[in-house]
This record gives sequence, structure tokens and C-alpha cells, in this order.
Amino acid sequence: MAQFSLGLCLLVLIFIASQQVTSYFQIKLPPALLGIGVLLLLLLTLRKVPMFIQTGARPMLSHMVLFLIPAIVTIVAHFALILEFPMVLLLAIVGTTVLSLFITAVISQKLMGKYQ
Amino acid sequence: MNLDSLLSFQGHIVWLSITLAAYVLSLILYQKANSHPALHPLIISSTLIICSLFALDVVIEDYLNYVWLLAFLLGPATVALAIPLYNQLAVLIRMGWRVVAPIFIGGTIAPILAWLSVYFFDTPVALQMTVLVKSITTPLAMGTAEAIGGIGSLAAVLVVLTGIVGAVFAPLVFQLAKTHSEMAQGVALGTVAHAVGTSKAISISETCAAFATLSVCLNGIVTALMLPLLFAS
Repeated sequence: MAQFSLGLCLLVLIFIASQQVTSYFQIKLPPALLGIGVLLLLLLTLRKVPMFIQTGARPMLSHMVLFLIPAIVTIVAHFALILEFPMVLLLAIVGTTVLSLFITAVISQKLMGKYQ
Repeated sequence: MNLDSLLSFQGHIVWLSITLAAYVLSLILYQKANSHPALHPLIISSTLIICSLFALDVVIEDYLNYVWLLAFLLGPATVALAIPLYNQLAVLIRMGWRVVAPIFIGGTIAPILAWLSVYFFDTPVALQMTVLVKSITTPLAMGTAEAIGGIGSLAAVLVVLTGIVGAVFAPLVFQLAKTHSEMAQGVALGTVAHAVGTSKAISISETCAAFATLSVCLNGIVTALMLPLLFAS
């Protein structure tokens, strides 16, 4: 429990610091992206993932869906926009996703197929 | 403690409990359905909560106020993505451009195609900016959408739906594209269908999952860096 708390505190501290830096310098990047860079640099410096970071991060990653729920629920505020363009959104979500998946799969197979 | 703060405290307890209960229920359902992408926990739990909000006549602003802690924790959870990326660095260095190129190409094609599909139908700019982020992992997509003039919450929904479509159609697409390499399948799933695609990759093989994870991290970071540079409002 102590290791989890310590790991969670580090993640929270890195995120808050990233928020402050992006806000102070008016950097147009998601603060969490800067946080990923900071933690990656820390891990590269340590050349391993310390146990307390691993213990703090594992439940955060495996239950990330829980933290996304408030954002998804906010969709009720955008129902009008979605209902205004239902077919366009269907095309954007289904059509272009399948096509992108096909193209990426073909390219990946060509470049990486022989490594299998 | 006055009546207002007591009611507010109760609201926090009640809605955090409802949200946690909906999440646990949706996880159980997802496991019972053999992780079928159409029953992704995010869809089921959010639907349950939206129904509860309507049934109990609670406005969305109040709900967001009650569960602010969950929304805040998304930030630290996203920072933790540095760990799977660190764990895959050796693979990235070993495979070099052969793995970076398809991630980069797929990560470029997916948003361009999505943007073109909405651009030609005279949709609002906010919607056009939002679909640009539909193939990257949700927490990065929300922040990136907001940074370029899109709608964060709508981005979250489009991202999840994109992931589900990718995971459902993947077997057929791999058959048509003659993609037999599990590494290649992992790259395609992670690049286009992000974390939901990765959960599909886990069901294929460990190799497939490792390459999907690498692709989610790399594509998410590159896209989240590039889009604000190109479109920052």
C-alpha cells in the first residue's frame, strides 16, 4: 500500500507540474504528454522501472476506463451536433477506420513480414 | 456544516458510488461476453450513468462537479503510459524504421481520411478538428482536440467508437490485406484502433500485443505533438 501511494504521488506530482509548466509558458500541448516525456526521461536515467512506480502505475493503467467515464458522459451536451451529422460521423468512424486499418496492415506486412 | 455543503458532500458520495458500481458492472459484463469490443466497459458504464442522470434529473455540470476526482486522475494515469513505452524501447531500437514507418504512415493516413470525410460535408470546424484525433489513445485525444479547437468530450466518444470498429473489423481486414505477421497486425491495431485495438491484439498473441502497445504510445505521442503545431488555435 505504501509503495502504491508513493508511486501514485509521483504520477500526480509529475502531472500537476506538467499542467503548471504548459499553463505558465502557454504551451499548446496536452499537459499529460509533457508528463509522459518527464517520466520517460526519469526511467531512462534510472535504467529501470522502480518497484514503487510500477506498483503505483499498474492499477492506474488497467483501470483507465474508470477515469474516462466523466468525459464520455459529457457527450449528452453534444447530442444535437451528433444528430445533425449522423451519416457523416458514421462514414468518418466506420469507413475511414476500416480503410486506414487496411492500408496500415498492408504496409506493416510489407516492412515487417519477414521478421515473423 | 451548512445544508448546502452537506448536500454537496452527499452528492459526491452518491455519484462516485454510482460511477464505481456502473464501472464494476460493465467490467463483469465485458468479461462474461469474452471481451467483445461492442460491449466495451466505457460504453456500458457511460450509458448506465447517462440513464441515471436522466432518471434522477441531475444536470451534467453537477455530475462533473461530484466526480471531479475521477476526471483529475485521468492525467496521472496518462503519465503512466511512459512505462509501457519504456518497456518497448528495446523493440523500437531493434526494429528501427521498419516499425516506425508503418506507425507514422498509418498515424498520418487515419486522421487525414477522417478529416476529409467530414470536410466535404460542410461540417463545423470544431467537428473537423475533433475527428483528427480519433485514432489516438483517449486521454491524449481529449487534450489534443481541445488544444486545436476541437471538443474534448466528443473526441473521447469518437475515439472509443473508432477503437471498437477497428477491433471488430480487424480479422476481416487482415484476411483481405493478407497480413499474416502478428507484428504487423499489432502495429495496424495499435496505430488505428489505439487501446481498444490493443485489447484485441492481446487476444491474438503476446507479440501482437507488444507491437500494438508500442504503436499506441508512439502514434499517440507523435500525433499529440504534431497536431497542435499544425492547428493550434
